[in-house]
Amino acid sequence: MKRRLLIGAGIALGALVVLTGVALLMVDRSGYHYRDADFAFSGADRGARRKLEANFTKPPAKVYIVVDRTHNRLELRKGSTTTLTAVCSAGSGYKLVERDTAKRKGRQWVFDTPRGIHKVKNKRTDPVWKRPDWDYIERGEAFPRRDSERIEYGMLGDYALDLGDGYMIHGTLYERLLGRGVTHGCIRLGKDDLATVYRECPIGTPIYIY
Amino acid sequence: MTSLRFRLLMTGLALGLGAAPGVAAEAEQPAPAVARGPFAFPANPALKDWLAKAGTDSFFLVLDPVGGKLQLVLGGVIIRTFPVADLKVATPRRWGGATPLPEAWHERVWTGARIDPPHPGARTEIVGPEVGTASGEVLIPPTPEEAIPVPSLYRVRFAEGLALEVTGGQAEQKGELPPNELPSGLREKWRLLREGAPDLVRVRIRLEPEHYAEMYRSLPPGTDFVILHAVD
Repeated sequence: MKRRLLIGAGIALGALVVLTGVALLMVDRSGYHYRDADFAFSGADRGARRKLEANFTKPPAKVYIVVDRTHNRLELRKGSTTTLTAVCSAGSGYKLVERDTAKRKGRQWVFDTPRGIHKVKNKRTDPVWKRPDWDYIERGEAFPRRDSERIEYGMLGDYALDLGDGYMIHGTLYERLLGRGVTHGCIRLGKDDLATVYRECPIGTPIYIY
Repeated sequence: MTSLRFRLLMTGLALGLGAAPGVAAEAEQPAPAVARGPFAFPANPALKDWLAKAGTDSFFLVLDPVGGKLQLVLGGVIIRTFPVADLKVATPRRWGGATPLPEAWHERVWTGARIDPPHPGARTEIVGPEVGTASGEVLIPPTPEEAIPVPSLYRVRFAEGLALEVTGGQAEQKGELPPNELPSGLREKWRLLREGAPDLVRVRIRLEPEHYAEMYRSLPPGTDFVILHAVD
């Protein structure tokens, strides 16, 4: 009898603990008290603050480019108006490691499209591509003896806009891969979109990459 | 361009300061011994942080409570706008009530955004094949949707203790909690019980499902956060 009572009490106590736990989770799942916000000024330096806020965002009056490197999307904008939204390809984010050899330790490259503010530094038609070392390493090919052997025609499409440090906006032979991050850091566009960007963006056009 | 914008902003502020009575009164006081930046705002140090960063190459998340939007800003340019449907603030519970909000919390710059939970996985590493042994196989990376699955709730945590809690994902819209996130939810509650509240203050926002996912995937790490006060 006493044993049954003890078991019953134990079960009741266990149930109480579980129910209390569930109730606590239901009432206060986050551990935080949420309420409507009051964003009023404290009053300090009110005039200066209003001025600062008013000037904090100002779109450039001329044309500029915005690139979402994660979603592979390029926008051409003028002021607050978007004049072109294009699917592009940005950097894959992959890391390439060169094998160590007897002569030297292997080099490494990270294929990111760099975030931040850039500018169109140069524009070219029918650009040629000088294959860098990483392209030979990635393909398992020997380096050529002469630099002239590195030159390839047609790989970059009809136009290239140079951003500096070897990064470009250019065309591609592989338009089916647009929308995926497949590049080594450059931004690839389809033929028609590239022609628009080339036509609309003079040298000096700012490029905002995020 | 950036430095030019910064100079213009400074000039605008200098003109504005002349018309601001509170600041003009401050300017009549003796100059402080410590050298300051181009403008001194002794009453509001948070504003100095804004000034120091305005027009630089820093990424900013700018919450506009009046306009109901959250904007990603770079160098003074709004590069993305996310409409905000709902906005709440929260502080940790304490003995049935809530801890008060830190003083002037909404007037300062919160720095160093870090997404929680973080994006999965490390970088894919490719070792170049030996010369003449390449298979010719092309590695096609996944789409962003495949590469970065979005959790049903995430927070953008800032170094000084503010967390932007983002809700509105697809799962939440359907009233579902994915089974694979139950363990992480329970782990978080256990951590809360054991270690206490991780955030000093939380700002909870609700975004459209498309924007919810987009912000999770593409918010640059290290972004700063400020709140606008267009109307007061």
